[in-house]
Amino acid sequence: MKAKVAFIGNPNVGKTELFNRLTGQHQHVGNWPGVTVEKKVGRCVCYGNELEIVDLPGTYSLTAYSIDELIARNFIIEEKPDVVVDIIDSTNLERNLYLTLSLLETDANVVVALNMWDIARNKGMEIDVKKLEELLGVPVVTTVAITGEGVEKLKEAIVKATKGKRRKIEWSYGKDVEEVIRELQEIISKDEKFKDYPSRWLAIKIIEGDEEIIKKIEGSKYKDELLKIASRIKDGETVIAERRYKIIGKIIEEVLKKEEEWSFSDMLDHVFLHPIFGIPIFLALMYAAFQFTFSFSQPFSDMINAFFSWLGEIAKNNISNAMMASFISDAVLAGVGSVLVFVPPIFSLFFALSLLENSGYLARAAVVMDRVMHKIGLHGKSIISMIMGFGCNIPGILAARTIENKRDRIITVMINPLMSCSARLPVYILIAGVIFKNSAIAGAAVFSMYLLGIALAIIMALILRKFLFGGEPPTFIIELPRYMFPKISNAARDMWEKGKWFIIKAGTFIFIVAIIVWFLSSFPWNATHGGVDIENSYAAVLGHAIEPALRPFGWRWQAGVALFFGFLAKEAIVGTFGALAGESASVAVATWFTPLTGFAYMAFVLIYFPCAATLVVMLREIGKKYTLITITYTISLAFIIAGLIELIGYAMGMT
Amino acid sequence: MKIGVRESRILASYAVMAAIAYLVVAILEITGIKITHDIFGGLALFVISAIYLAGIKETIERSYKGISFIIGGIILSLIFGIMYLFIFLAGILEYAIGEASFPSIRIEIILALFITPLAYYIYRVIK
Repeated sequence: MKAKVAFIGNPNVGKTELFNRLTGQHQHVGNWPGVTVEKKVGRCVCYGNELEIVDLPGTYSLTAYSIDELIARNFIIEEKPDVVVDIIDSTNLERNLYLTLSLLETDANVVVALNMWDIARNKGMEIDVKKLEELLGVPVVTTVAITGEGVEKLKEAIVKATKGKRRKIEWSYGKDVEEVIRELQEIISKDEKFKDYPSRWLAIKIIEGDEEIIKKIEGSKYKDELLKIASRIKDGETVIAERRYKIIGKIIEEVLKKEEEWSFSDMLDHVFLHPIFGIPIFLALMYAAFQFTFSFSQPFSDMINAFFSWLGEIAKNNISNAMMASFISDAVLAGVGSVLVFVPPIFSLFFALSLLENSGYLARAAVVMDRVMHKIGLHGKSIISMIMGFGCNIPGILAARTIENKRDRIITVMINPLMSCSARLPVYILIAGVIFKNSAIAGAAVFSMYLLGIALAIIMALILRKFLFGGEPPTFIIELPRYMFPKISNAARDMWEKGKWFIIKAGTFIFIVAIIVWFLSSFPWNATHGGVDIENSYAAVLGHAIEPALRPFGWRWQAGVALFFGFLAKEAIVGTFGALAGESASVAVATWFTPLTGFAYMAFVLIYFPCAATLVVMLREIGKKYTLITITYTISLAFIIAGLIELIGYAMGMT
Repeated sequence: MKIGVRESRILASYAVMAAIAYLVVAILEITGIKITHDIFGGLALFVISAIYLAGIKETIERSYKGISFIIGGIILSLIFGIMYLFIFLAGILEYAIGEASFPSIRIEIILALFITPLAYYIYRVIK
């Protein structure tokens, strides 16, 4: 007898190991038509039966959020394998049974493999397998894929299942939902188009508002009637998920005789994922990371700054040609200095973020923030993209590719430029360090820029969701890594990998801009008296042309020139400051800005325009229309926020 | 899962002291009285204090849920203590080369030292 068997399960439950155990060396890998996701097909002869085993992509549910889930679901529903083996992580019944219940609704002939049985045993968990069989109505086998324990029993169960149908058990989703399901099933059974679909499963999917299923009912003459009935359950997807978890809770209550003992990871999660403390802890840790970035690196930056100032003085005193002396001192050395002076804070930031990431906390931060993000119409995965945006907006935008829903992805990309990338950090450090004498206040000012970016991103996401995109983001599911004591060597390697771009890419860019700005600020040579009288320079002409737009904020033309070069790359702003101010940008900044105008300028730099490289990536990821909208809103928002900061400041009596 | 009565009492008492110490320092930092004015730093200490407090009742009840909060508080205390220690050492380096005056010690370092015996004790209890 020949039979087709599908292997399905959550990611990382030992599915492939079990597949290999059953199929031995006879497997081959083939591509699904039109997609890049791989499926594995193997053969196994068990007790005289030839089984074709298909290993489906790992999935958490049968809702078509991503291409993997769609493939798995379509295979179960459309190809109708003779047996579906649902592989479950025994140590995490709650999460895994979600898929099991969804599978059983498809009327599939399911066999459950409780894998990682040894780990559950070692953790002191006691699961009543017989009771679980009784409750689910399907055979349940315990396995340890790594050692092969239970594999023979699984083979037996599969062969037995190919010869008979399973006992059908239906769980109640509550009176209101069941009534809607029943009415929907009645209509579904009238339409020939749906005769191949399990009616109860289809009804539940219509209530959930499953996009693929809604597309399928488009052509049905009963479409309006179906949607009208389903609409009686408001927020159907959440209602079904919540009630399914209630059912799972009841099953677990009956089968789990002894819960696993609390591990150290569980204890940490109890606090770090706490509904009340989770977000304050996240903010406290982010504050620690940025305080470390600013305060720890400052002495090193000061030392580099002092070194280059000293070199500049030597150049000026020893080179007889004034133009050459100015070029070496004010362009080359000031340029190199303005790059290297920001290496300590940028490397410190990457080091701190790497420690958080390697410890396993950053994934938890995404979970904690998802609670807020979901409420404001963003997907939990958006947080990962946003946190990566703190390093550089480009990888942040690329990280949004993991978001399945197109609308959610576009919103995430459009708000990413508001995440304060590390290229903006030097601007904050330079200005905050000068205008706020106290280093703790300066650190807080820098941190507030990051908070402002997050707050604005949230507001913009709300606005974009409400007025441009509509819809609701789907539920966020993430595999949480184990907590680990972060290794300093790993963090240092990450820091170097992520930070070296600054020295190479941004460093080169700042250096070139510094030379261009030196030229603009020193020429015409005679009119500027060798770069001394900058008011007569080309840079002043450019600055004065921009100045009217910035005058209401109290910013000088030099700040305008810096913003102009910042359109190309935010790193260029500090390079411009350095070149316009000569060897001491700090002294110049102190004369250009008051604490209030400087703080408003920092906010303006945060918001006003995605850099040129980010724009190129945005164009590729979300197209012209949404990139143009992003440019428009960032420029408008920059003027509004900087204006508001100054108005509030003046109202509070600040200058 | 339960811990011993004696251990739970010791842990709870220490957590109360830690919570009070962090709360007092948090208020001083937020208001800028006597020590460095640092609003965000003060708020972070306030969070640590609240975490210690949140675990006291369940620690007395000998539950591991309570201990979780104390562990969370210890981790945050140590993170802040070590961070400010590094900042202090960097400041000494700058002082050594004559670029700045001698840095002041942040109170978070002292608080972390105060927490260290608790960290060791809880490690032994869990083990």
